[in-house]
Amino acid sequence: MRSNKLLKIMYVFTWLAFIGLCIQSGILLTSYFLSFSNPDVSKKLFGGINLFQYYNYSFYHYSFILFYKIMIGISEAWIAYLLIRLLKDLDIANPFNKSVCKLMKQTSISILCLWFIVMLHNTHIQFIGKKYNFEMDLYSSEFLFVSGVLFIFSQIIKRGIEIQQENDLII
Amino acid sequence: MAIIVNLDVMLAKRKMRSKELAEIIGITTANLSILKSGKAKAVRFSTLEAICKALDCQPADILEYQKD
Repeated sequence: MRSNKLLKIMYVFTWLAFIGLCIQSGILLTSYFLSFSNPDVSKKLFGGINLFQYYNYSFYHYSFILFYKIMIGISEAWIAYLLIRLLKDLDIANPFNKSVCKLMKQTSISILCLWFIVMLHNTHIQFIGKKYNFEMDLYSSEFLFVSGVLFIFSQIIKRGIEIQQENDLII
Repeated sequence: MAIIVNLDVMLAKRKMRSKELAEIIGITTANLSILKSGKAKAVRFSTLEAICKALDCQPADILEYQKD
């Protein structure tokens, strides 16, 4: 079954995303603590992020921006974890049960929280960027992440359509 | 398919039209057509009972098993 194979591939990708996001958040957090004693650390954070301008301008703003980035990483890792649980227990032949419903609900709430953090992050950076002419570094990879989540949900719904079509053929 | 629906045969024997039967048993002609063509995945006992009642026959007169 094609859906089954796709979901197995997505399961592997979700694990990779989860591990990657945990590492990213951990490195950012460690870098933050290291930047207390060595400000140069803020020049080249994980993924080539340069927050040195913000560090020089205000340590509080720098802390906030890094805090947002860490929170975004943790939120995405949490969503990836929920997806791992969802894909692990998912039986594509009978995908509709309470556990799947609960996990899908938790995932949607987590994505809403992620959106809220990203909005705060983007607004904060735009505010500082416009006020002090700083280079803006807007975060946008969550769109790719959300598209992955929606793809998994679409596979579950696809099976739902098949079940509904079968039900339509019960006379 | 292993299960053959002989509804056409019974309708011919009783000289009844599909539309008429559909009205009596309370299903659409489209659904009756699905049943007659063997495309149906399952038949409800209530539908089978209504067909048997309308055509005055047994389920075995409508459904038949044939080895593939």
